[in-house]
Amino acid sequence: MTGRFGRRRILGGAAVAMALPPFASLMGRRVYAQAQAARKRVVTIFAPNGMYLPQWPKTTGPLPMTPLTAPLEPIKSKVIVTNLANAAAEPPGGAGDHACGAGAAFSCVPPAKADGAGIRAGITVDQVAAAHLKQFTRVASVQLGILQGKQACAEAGYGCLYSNTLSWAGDKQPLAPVMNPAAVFDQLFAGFDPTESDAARQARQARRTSVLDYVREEAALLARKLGRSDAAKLEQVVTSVREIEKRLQPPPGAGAGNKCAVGARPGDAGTDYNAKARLVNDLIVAAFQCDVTRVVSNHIAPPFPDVSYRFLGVSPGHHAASHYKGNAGKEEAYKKTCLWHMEIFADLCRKLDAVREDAGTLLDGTFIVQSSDVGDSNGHSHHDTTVVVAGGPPFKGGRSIAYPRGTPVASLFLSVLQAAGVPATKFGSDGTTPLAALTG
Amino acid sequence: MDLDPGRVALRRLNRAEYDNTVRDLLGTGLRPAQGFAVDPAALGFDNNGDVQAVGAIQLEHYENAAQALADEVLAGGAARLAQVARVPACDPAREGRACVARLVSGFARRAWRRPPAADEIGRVMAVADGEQRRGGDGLAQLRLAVAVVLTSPHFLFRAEPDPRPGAVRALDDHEVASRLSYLIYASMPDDPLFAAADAGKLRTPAEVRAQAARMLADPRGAAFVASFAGQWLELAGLEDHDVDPALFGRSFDRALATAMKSETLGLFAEFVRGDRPAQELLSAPSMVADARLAQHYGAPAGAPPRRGLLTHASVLTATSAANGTNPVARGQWVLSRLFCAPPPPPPPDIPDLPDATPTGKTLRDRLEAHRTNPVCAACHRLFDPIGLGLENYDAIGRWRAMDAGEVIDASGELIDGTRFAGPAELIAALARDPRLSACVAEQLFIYALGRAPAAAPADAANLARLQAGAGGAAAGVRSLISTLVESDVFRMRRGEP
Repeated sequence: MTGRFGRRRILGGAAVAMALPPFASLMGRRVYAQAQAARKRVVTIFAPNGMYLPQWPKTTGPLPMTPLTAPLEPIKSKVIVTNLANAAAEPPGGAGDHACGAGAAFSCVPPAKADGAGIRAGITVDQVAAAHLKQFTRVASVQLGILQGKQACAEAGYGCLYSNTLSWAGDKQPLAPVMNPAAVFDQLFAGFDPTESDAARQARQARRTSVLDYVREEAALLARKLGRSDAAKLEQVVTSVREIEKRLQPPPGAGAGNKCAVGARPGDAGTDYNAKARLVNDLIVAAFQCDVTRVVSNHIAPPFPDVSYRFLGVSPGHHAASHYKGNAGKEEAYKKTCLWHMEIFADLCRKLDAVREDAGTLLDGTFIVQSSDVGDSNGHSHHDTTVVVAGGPPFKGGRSIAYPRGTPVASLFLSVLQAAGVPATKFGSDGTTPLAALTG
Repeated sequence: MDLDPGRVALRRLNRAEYDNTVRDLLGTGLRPAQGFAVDPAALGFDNNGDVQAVGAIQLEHYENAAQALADEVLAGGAARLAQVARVPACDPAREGRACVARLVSGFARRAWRRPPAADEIGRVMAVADGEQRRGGDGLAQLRLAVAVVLTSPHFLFRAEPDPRPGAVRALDDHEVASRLSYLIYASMPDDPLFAAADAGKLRTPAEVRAQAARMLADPRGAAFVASFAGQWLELAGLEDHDVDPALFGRSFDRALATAMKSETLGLFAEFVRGDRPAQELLSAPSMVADARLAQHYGAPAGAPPRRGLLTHASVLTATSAANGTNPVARGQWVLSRLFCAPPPPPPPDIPDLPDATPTGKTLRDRLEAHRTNPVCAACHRLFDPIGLGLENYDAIGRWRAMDAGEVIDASGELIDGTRFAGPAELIAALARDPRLSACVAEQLFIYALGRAPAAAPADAANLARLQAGAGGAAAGVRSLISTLVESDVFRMRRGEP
């Protein structure tokens, strides 16, 4: 198991407060200070197969409490619930709504109807954010997953990959989720052993730098010998090395660490995915508190084919239950699974809101968007994709908003990027203007 | 070479291949890849280079794993590394840089699955030299060099250089060895294969064929059966298959799922071993060795003997829902998996099948009602009869004569007009369908080359040649593999234009 890797270099076991070496970019003290003054973060969450629409708010006004929105109660003043259109999620030809919808969910670019060599989607909103926010942190972004889907899930010509992937760093660069939270923990908090001497840490960093320098050079040399698309793979390696290397730079004034609570190293929750999802939320909170990364995506489950939610005590698979029209048993099951998606969303919000940061809480500086592959799960519509957003100013929470039909979800992503300080002016195929109403 | 062999995309080691490779390279018990990101899959398999990307996270995983593996091997000193590298031992404390270079070179040779070039070793040694300048002793230099070799793109990827864009070239011996070993062992070449490559023997089809036969007979050849057949038949996740405990109680658990899977993989292994025609996968008598599975099957009155994949509990379970059989899914599985002829997807917003309870109608009645809609019937005629013909097998593959108080009617008519009275006749009819043998060849092609046979212009002809060369419709499974590995598509590549 991964637990055996680098254990001596990380802390496991009980929660502890530790001094982390502050990270600073090469940009100098001014930007560094600015970054520390107002940390902004982005989280994207993929909750498959839409939401139970009969309990989803549809009007503009104070956020109504329904059984489905009830979990939001404790943090509702920081939450906006809405429906928006994702035109790119609509498969031309009419079949493949789940895979196409998943491929477009956070990119708002129509994915190519292909498998293997032809796969192509767009850069996702979390990765646009990461491209900017990575200058402030050691880790650019983290991709997490809760329930792993089947590997045979191609749908109507759309490759399985679309359904199993949330984050894309580029149109040909899907970033697979890591399903093992302990492995993510090790990675995020590796190298922060407070008992390690300065000399030992410097020696370790020198070794890491020399390995990475080697990989960068070797990948670039190898790329020259390969065809175009093979070389592109090696160029991804070169880019990734640069990203990691940048984080190894000794920060200005090294030694003056910031304190943060790294939680316990997550254990193996087995098939208790409810427990796992909450452990993953703890991990996200710890990563933000320690400012190790500012961008996280969480792929709760793929939409299709069926994923079992038996850990909630429901029998039909999630996809089967989502086609509940005229079937009371499925409807009950679907209600439960949608409610659970909202509970896990709310769990993350509450945990972030419980941690003070500057004059507010971690949640105030975090913009969390949960979206899906479809809107109405019975008919696979894409004009009414259910979206829930949490975060602090400039967003004005505590509301549900009914936008004119056809208002693109890409506009909301653009608003999120701008709120997070990312200098974006457009997003996806149709995100050209931010959604003004979000900020009141 | 008269047909374009096409391109094989650059592949990196997937999780299973990574763990197998470090196991065979280092003899380690560590399984670092269990913490790596999920392997993306395409065309049904998780070894597809076209969809494999490397982000910073993945690279950091590789780097951490390499450090841990290097720590472990060097805990055994330079002597242990010499053993792993298959070179004579030396003492870096006494012999200095020459010893370090010899060990590093030998180790890189095995880790990269080919003789390293002098400049490639030079760049690894430059890192070791840096460690020396920082005051690191010989062991520290070796530790770092091993980590470098294991983080190198030469280790993580299986590169096949394209010196001339668009041109076709024969793979060299070590490239062929890697293709063979990752196909059959899902791991690095073993010593005999490495030796054959070193001796320049892998340029003749006959030698490649002989090596493949040897490797398929090796215990490590089981990796091919598990990986290829397990993914082709969509049994990879069977241990995690969801079964409703309220309906099936303790009748299904992981141990039984493992036994089910073993039966099917065992049958496929037997087909490889005995070079039996793929066509017989649907008619081969079942030989259940596992007591639990035998008990699960029982000997119910009126049940025909279990013959072929479609009577295997693994397949019958994997194609069922948690709370009951799904004849539509079973029929579609037969078309897409066994005949490589997936039916078109349903039109949007189709009505769901009504619940069984309020109407009191059987599943067959309800599916028939569904088929009165001509839009639905166009496709459901293709697969409903197959699924309904298997209704005597419940959602965990047990025989049953009755369902919901009614005697099961498993008769029907296939799209070509063939009528059948029950599962035995249905399966016998399906077993005659020549698409089965062709489909096994096609799946093997996809698995070995990572592309759909439609991807390259000549691939339809390449695939036809593979099947014909292996003996046509009666092609044995091992002959298919041998014919594939000795063919141009496997031993040559076209550079990307």
